Formats: sequence, C-alpha cells, structure tokens
Amino acid sequence: MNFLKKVLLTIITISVVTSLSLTLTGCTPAAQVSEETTLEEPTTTEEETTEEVIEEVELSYATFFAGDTPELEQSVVDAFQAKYPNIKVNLEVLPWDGYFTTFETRLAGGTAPDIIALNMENFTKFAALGALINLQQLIDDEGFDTTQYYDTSLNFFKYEGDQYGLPATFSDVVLLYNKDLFDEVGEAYPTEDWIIEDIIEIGKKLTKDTDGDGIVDQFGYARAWWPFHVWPYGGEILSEDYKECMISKPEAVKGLQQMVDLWLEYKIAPSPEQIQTLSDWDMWGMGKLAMYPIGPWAIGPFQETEFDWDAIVHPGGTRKSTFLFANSCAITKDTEHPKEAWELLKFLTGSEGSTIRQKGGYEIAANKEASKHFKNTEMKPENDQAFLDAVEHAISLPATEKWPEINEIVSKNLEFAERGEMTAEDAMIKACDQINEILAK
Amino acid sequence: MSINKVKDRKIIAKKQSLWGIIFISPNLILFTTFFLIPILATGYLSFTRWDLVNPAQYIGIENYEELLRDKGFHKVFINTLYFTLLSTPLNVILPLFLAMALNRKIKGIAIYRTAYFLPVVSSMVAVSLVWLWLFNRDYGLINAALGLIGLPKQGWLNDVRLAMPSVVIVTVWKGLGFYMTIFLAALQDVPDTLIEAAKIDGANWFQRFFHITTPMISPAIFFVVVMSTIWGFQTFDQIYMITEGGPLGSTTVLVYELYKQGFEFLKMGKASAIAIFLLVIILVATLIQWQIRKRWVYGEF
Repeated sequence: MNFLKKVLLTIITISVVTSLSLTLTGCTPAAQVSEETTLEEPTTTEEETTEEVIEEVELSYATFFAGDTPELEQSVVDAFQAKYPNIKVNLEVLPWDGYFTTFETRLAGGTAPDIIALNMENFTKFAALGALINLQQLIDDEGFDTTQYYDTSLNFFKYEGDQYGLPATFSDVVLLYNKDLFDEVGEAYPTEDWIIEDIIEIGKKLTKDTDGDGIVDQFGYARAWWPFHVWPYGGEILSEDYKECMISKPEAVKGLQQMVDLWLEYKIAPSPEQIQTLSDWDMWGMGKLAMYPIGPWAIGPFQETEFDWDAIVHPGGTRKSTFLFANSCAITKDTEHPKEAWELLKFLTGSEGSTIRQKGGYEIAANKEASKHFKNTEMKPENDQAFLDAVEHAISLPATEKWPEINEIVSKNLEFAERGEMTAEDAMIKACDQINEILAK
Repeated sequence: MSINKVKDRKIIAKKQSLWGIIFISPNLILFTTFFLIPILATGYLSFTRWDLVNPAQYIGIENYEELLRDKGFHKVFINTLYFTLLSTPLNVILPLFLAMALNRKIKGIAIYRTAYFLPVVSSMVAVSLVWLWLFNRDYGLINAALGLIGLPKQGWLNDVRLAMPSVVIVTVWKGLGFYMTIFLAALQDVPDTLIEAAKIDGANWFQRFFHITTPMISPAIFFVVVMSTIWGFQTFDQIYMITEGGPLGSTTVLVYELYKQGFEFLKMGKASAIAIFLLVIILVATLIQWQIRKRWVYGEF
C-alpha cells in the first residue's frame, strides 16, 4: 500500500491499541462501595486572599460514621452547607472494612480527602506519620473553646502535646439483654450487682437448640474483642510506660481463659468458627442472643427488633471495666483549603453537628452540650443511662502507633487458645515474647 | 546500479525496522510503565523502610535479614511450597483425563467444554464466596453430602490440616477448564496414525497412553507444570477471601504476607523484599523446570 495508507493505518492501530490497553490496565475495581465515591482531587475556582470575597470552595470529607445509614452524616453535612453556602462538601461514607487501608493508599497517592474521620486506635498512627495538620495553632490563634469537649476524648486526639483532631463521638461497651428470652425461661433481668460469673450461670439456661435440629442456635452470651476480657480481674495490656507486655500476668490470663472457656467449657457463646457463619451482630438482631456486649452504635440499627431489649452497665470480675472508644475528625496535611476545612471541622464536632448525629442513634457526642440530649425517651433502650454510667469504668487502649502490630500478635496467639490447643496462659506468654521485642525497638 | 541497490536495501531495512518499532511501541510503553519500572522500583524499595507517607529511608539488607531470621516467614514459605506442590500435579492429572474424555465427537460436546471453562472466566472473588459456603461446617453442601453417605462432618476451613487442601480444591476446580483446553489442543495434535499403528502392534490402553500420548503432549504438560507452579506461588485472591491466612496461619502464603506487611503494617520496604524474594524463587523454579525440559520434553530440540 502507499505511504499515506500506511501512516493512517499505523496511527489508527496505535491509538486503538493504546486507548484499549490504557482503559483495561487502568481499570482498578473500586475498593469501596459508597453512595458518592469521588476519587478526584477537590477542584477549586480561582481564590482571592481577602476574606471579604465569597469564593466557591469544594471540600471532600470521608468518614465511617453510621456506615449503614449514610444519610445520617449527610444530614450533618447539609446543615453545615446551609450555614456556609459558599462551601460545597463532597461526603463519602465508606465501609469500615478496609477504611484505613484506603486512607493510607490515598495519602500516598495524593488524593486524600480534606477531612477524615479517624478512630482512636488508628489516630496515633496517622498523627505519627505526619498525615494530619497540627490544629493547636488554629485553636490558640482563634481562642477556640476546647472545654466544650470531654477532656478524655480531647486527650485521645493529641499528639506530642498538640491537638491534631477534634473529638466527634465516643462510645463504650455495655451489656444489652433480650428481655423476651429472659421471660421465656423465667429469669430475672441482669442488675448492677451482677458479676461475670452470673452471666455464665444464667447464660447456660439461655443457650439451647430451639428448632431441634441438633445444632445449638440460641446463645446466652457472645464474646467481645479480646482487650475487654483482659481487664475484669485487674489485668492490663501494657505497663504504664508502654515498655512491658502485661498480658501474660495472672490477672489478665484469668480473664482471657474465661473468654475462651465461654465456648470451650461453659458452651454459652458461639465459637469464632460459628461467628463466621452467623455473626453475633446478626444473631442479636434475629433474637438468637440473650446477652450482648456492644456499644451505642447498636442503638439506631436495632430499634425495630421483634423483641424487647434493654441495657445495663456490663458486669465485671473484681472490677467493672469497659472500652472507651472515641472517634474524631481531622484535617489532612495536603488540604488546599485549611481555613474552610477548619470551619467544617468545628461544625462536625460542634454542638449543632454532633446533636444531629447523636439523634440518629450513632454513638454519644463528645461535645458536652450535645451529649446532654443523648438520653432519649422515645428510643430503646429504656436504660440508656447505662452508656453514660459505664464511662466511669472505662479503660482506654494503649495509645501507641505499634498498636496494630500488638493487636495482630495477640490475636494470632490467642487463636491457639480459642481452639483449645493451648491454655490462654501459654498463648499469652508467647505473645508477650514477641510484643516485648517490638516495644524495645 | 549495484551501488544503488545496496543503498536501497539499507533504506528499506531501516524503514522496516522503524515500522517495527512503531508497531510494538504501545506494548513496549505499557510494559515499561506497568511492569519494568514497578519491578525496578520494588527492587529499590526492598532496601528501604517506607510507610507510604514519609520519604523512604535506605536501610540496606535489613529487610532481607529480618525475613530470613523470622521463623514465621519460613512457615509462610513452606505453606506456599505446600500449596504449589499439592495443586500442580492435580492441575496436570485431572484436566488431562477430562480432556481425554472430551476429545471425541459426542453430541453437545461444545456445551461440556463451555461448562468446564466457565469457572475459568469467573471472578475468583465470586468463586471464593460460593466455596466458602460450600465448605461451611454446619450448613455447607459438602458436609451435607458427606452426611448423606454416612461420613462424619469435617471442619474444612477451620481445620488446620484441611484448610490448605480446601483452598487447593477451589483453585484446581477453577483452573480445570483452562488446562483442559490446553490438553485438548495437544491431544488433537497426536497423529491418529501413530495410535492406529500401536493398536495394530497390540499395545493396550496403558501402553498407548504412556509411550505415545504422553510423550507427544509433553510440551503441553510442561507448559501446564510451569504455569501452575508460577501461579501457585502467586496465589492471593482465594486466601484473602476464604481463609484470611488462617486457621493458625496454616494458609498464609507469600503474597498474602506481602499484603499484610505492606498494607496493614505499612512496612512497604519489607513487603517489597518479600516480592523480590518471590521473584527469585519463581525464577529458580522455572530455571529448574527448563533444565528438566531438555530431558523429558520431546520434539522441541
């Protein structure tokens, strides 16, 4: 063929092949399924530096709050936009699974949102990485009143003495109980005087095979996350200076052994294997779990259950103990609009924003003013005071960026005990060996 | 005239090589961008400590030293070896017999071949989810079937001894159609005349199979063994979806460990070192197989 035809053919071939290959190889499955996934950088229009001119600014805000009901956080954002019409907020309510991994990757790729919601566990890690803006300057310059937040929740989000995040919600774990199941066997509901041994004793009566197929499908109790079971008899995870692993000490071991015995010995709780088939969350919702250690994030989703339920401060061993979780919002370091992001941050964690969120049944507001409205006579549980009372006994997890590794080591070793192949003591001795190595680095 | 002819030929040759380069450039660019450069970057990263957010720090061979000292990593390597050694023979034998069974003119043969190929083109994630339920101890179909014929229920994915074989089952099942197609093509290239001659000489089925068929399809067998080994070492999806490395770390393989180190602990340097280690292992395995090829594969040298 002649020269012209050759050239045309080449150009067409190259463009078709290149565009095809680029689309195919460039296609990565979306890691998250969210209502409004936007992975583009926040676009901005030309900015003037004087405060007088109202510029249109777009912010992106990613969160995991109330993942099952994204419209809740959206309503908080809507209220903000009503007050600040010149700031458009692109909200992404992302699923919990992979949330922090996604954030890490976006940080590396430069597409991180302006505002990110972080829980306590992961906060230190990201602050230490330098991924967040130091808010202390903003707070001091403006004379921002931080006493509007509960002290403990504020302190969770400090790093090296400075504030890096503002607390949005906090939660603890109490004991929910299914009143109908208790009525069925004629047992009295749990009281403040109960201890863990009571749970075990009464739990036995509440665990049964309801449909006669030979498989137990109703349980009296379900385990909580392992740290919960370290504390009841005075155990601790790390020493106060975070230099020594304390999980292999007798007080901690007693609680952990008791935890695995829930399904190995006493048989009142589903084993980890059974939880894989049907999670404790689902079991509770279906009315197949009599007692459930869980936090205020369960209030909203379980309003419409077919059974009646209530809450009580979780029974302890030699002391009552529970988790204190807190969530915050923080500004990421690469934001192009720190001033506007700061306004959004203040609103999201402020009295107005927090009240809206709390009303929707997602956790307790860390804002003192908003938390006053936590008790709600229209919603279950009747004894929502339990959530507030439990805070008194709350213990926080070690605030170290090594926490993910520590958690992994304990979980891996605990698995042996969970399967009855090792005592909790032996498993935790092994775990402490590895953990002490890490703490020494 | 002759001088011009030489000059013309040189110009034509140059023109042709230019066209050649132009035509392979899209592929070359993509290969360089998405394969070559990332591999080189990974090589560099394996000598650093990097947490994705802060700049990478050079730390020499520390990552490699850590890996070699870590007993947990030894276990991960053994697990990967176990997976590959268990799945590869199955990936040869089962598809081969399947191909022989389908190598004839039955009515609707196309339907069978398509049916067997469907798992190959399905998403491993979807396949994993289905098998997750099939293996479920209390409600899964497999244990139900065992119950029907009077066998006891097995723990499958929760049994430390059965978890890896379970994942192997899923993997072999999914790859069946692909390898079967390879063998089908190879079988059809075995000349009928050879088989006929053997029959006339009185060879029975076993003799025909081992002395004629197998040598004639040995290039295909070689291909399947190599690919199954390479893919075996690279297994990730099924592990991530079905067992998450458990129970008790019995199904944690190299790529899964790589994922955890890099994305859960933010140790990108260590993860890169694992990746390079994987590269070397696969290279060595393939070289060994290449040597074996000279002795056992017929018709290519």
